Amino acid sequence: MNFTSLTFWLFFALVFSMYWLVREGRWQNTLLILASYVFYTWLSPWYAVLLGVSTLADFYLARQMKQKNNSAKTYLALSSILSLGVLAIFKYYNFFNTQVAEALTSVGLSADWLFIKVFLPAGLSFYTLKKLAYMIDVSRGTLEPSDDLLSFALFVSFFPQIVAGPMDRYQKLMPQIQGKHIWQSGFFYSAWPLIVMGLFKKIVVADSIKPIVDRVFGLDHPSMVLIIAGTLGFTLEILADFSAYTDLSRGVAQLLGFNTSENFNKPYLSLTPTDFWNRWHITLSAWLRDYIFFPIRRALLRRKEPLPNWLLLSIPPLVTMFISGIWHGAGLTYMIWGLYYGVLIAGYQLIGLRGDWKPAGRLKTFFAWLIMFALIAFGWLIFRAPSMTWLADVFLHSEWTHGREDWIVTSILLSRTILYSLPLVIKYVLDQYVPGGFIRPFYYAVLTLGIIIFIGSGTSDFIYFQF
Amino acid sequence: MRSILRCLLLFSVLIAATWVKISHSYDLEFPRAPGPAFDNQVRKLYISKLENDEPDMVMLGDSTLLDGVDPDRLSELTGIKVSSFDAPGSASAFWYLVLKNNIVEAEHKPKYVLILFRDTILTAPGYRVHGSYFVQLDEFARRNEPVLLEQAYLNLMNPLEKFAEGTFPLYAARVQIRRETDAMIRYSLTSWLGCNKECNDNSMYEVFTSADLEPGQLQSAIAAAEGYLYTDRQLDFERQIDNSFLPEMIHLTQENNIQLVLVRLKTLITGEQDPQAIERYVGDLSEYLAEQNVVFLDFGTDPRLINEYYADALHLTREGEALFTEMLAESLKVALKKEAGK
Repeated sequence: MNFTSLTFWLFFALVFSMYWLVREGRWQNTLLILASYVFYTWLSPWYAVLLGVSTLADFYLARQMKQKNNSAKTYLALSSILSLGVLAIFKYYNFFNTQVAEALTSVGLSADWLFIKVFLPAGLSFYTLKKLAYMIDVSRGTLEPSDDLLSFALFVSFFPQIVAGPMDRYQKLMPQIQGKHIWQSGFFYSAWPLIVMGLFKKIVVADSIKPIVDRVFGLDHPSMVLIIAGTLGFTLEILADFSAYTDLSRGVAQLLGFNTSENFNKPYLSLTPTDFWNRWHITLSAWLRDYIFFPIRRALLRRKEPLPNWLLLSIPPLVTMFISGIWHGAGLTYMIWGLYYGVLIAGYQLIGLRGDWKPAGRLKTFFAWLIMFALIAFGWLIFRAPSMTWLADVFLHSEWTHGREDWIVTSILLSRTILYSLPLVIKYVLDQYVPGGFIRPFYYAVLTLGIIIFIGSGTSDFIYFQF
Repeated sequence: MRSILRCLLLFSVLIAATWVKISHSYDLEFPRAPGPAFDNQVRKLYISKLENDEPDMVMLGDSTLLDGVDPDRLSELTGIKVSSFDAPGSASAFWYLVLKNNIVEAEHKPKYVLILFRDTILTAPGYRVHGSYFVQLDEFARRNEPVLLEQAYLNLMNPLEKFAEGTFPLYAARVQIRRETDAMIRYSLTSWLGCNKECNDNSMYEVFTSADLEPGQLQSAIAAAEGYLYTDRQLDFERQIDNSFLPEMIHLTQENNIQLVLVRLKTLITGEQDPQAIERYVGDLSEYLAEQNVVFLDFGTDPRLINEYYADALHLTREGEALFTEMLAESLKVALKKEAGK
């Protein structure tokens, strides 16, 4: 049941009607918890049990932290081991089991049992970080632990956010959960552009560009021109796909009376890597900044023997972005991608270009943007590459082009990327320069027509058609 | 408030405009019966093959047949003249159409029709019927194909989709509009570079289809596409059989005195699925086929087809093909002899 399926919208229509009919806050929250667990059970029944157990464990541990203040660190450690342990097992088991099995076999031990396939429960990475932030804040004494299990469980499992965020903090979501919910027509007026935009970006943009991008990254020896075109295509695809999910999540939450966080703020207009991470997956960036970057930086500054400035500027972003990389997935490409951003952030800061840097003059701004956009696209190339060996092979052995056919396919891919990015460019222009009038409603009306045409008419069979 | 009202107003105007334009451009009348519209042209490719080669046995299947059985060697080993009608990317809807509109309509009808399939594909009527596969089906479909329409499309639509298909021109014509939009994007820019449609398609073929795919990507693409065949619904034989093309294919062959032979091929995907559910499915299929007097040869778990004989999760290597052709010939001789003795 994903946000673009009819099943989801039927489910949501039912939840929405009952939610606003019930009116009483406690019952509304109970209904939302039930709906959230039904939604999650639909994705993976057994993992709903895991969600429930881990919610109960953290609720109890946070309360213990408050009652036994001296042992706060022990409870935090216990909660972190539980949450991160579960995340590590589900996320990295499949990555490491082959290596462990080989090591065991080499010393004569049977390792067949290691080859059980473990599937990552949807949303585990997201709700783990959400709970972890809560536990850290309680242990720091900046947050009172919740004494309301129902509200806490809803905070963790809130169905518009559970699968892929945005990862709203306890401080933002809890007052809304515990506050009064009274229907306002404003909820609908704010939600519908988000829902139309989200459906359009996913169904029309991301799903149209994906098949040909997948084909390029599926080639064993692609030429450089194809890789460049494929990378630009993926740069559009990942923005459209992920921001579509956030838009839909925010639109659905808004219809239930919740104001949730923006996750994207024109990330491809960034001028520096720090600026990019302040605009891309904003709730994750804020989490990494508050719970990894700042603590490391503080710890380094508090050292008795001060570190040289270049190390002070380099270590926090390198560690933070490396962790960001492994959070995104198990695999060398994600680790390298994370480190790549760590190096970029450190490098920019070392030459004095901080996140809020603004070059003087349009030409300088343009070149700063162009360089940053190229660096972002290169980052996506690392992220999307099937493996690091493949990427190394492309750089070491690929020719610029294998002939005229490559240019033709490159131009097909580029024209597709440019055409499908136009609606997003128009949206930017409308947001910047057209505050009211008929143009904006006309834009949304045309997007809705686009959704009707593209829904269920896709050719996602593209790669596979050759069989 | 004003913004949403304006949007609704403009949306209604656009819908009205598309209603007129689409009904006129695609010659569609509304309300209409839901489901895709096929043209009346039927390719006679296999009729000519049957009449030119006059084979006694015809094999139907997708690329697994192309890479899995050598028809000349099979003819040699069995003493039966065999023709292979392998169509990469095809599935049960396509095989049904070829059987109905080509094989049984030919002057020369084969004695045997052999369908090489894997796991649940024979009772998954909605597999490979949309997008590019629709074009492949349309080539062999007549304008009026009630069984195809019902099993591959209408049975799988929810009431809302049926309503939209039958009432709204924009929704009903979305596949054609999408295809035309894709074609426009694909061919416009390259036409300025002096590359016409044919040159364009050849380039796509050269770059993608004839090139080597990165093995990991290929495996995951296959697994993702094959996943449809292993959902709970597809593995429920009792539920699927009456909604599939299989009863109709059996009926067509029996009516035309053709012996139907179904051959289940082993794939490396099967092993990654729920073994008990597949075993149950194959057991039910086997029982059903025995009742219908259809020969069923099951190589789905044959230990002789080891992993080394596979080029990827589905397709056999040259060595695999040679071995499987011999295995098939051996089993065919026994089964057909037994059938003749009945």
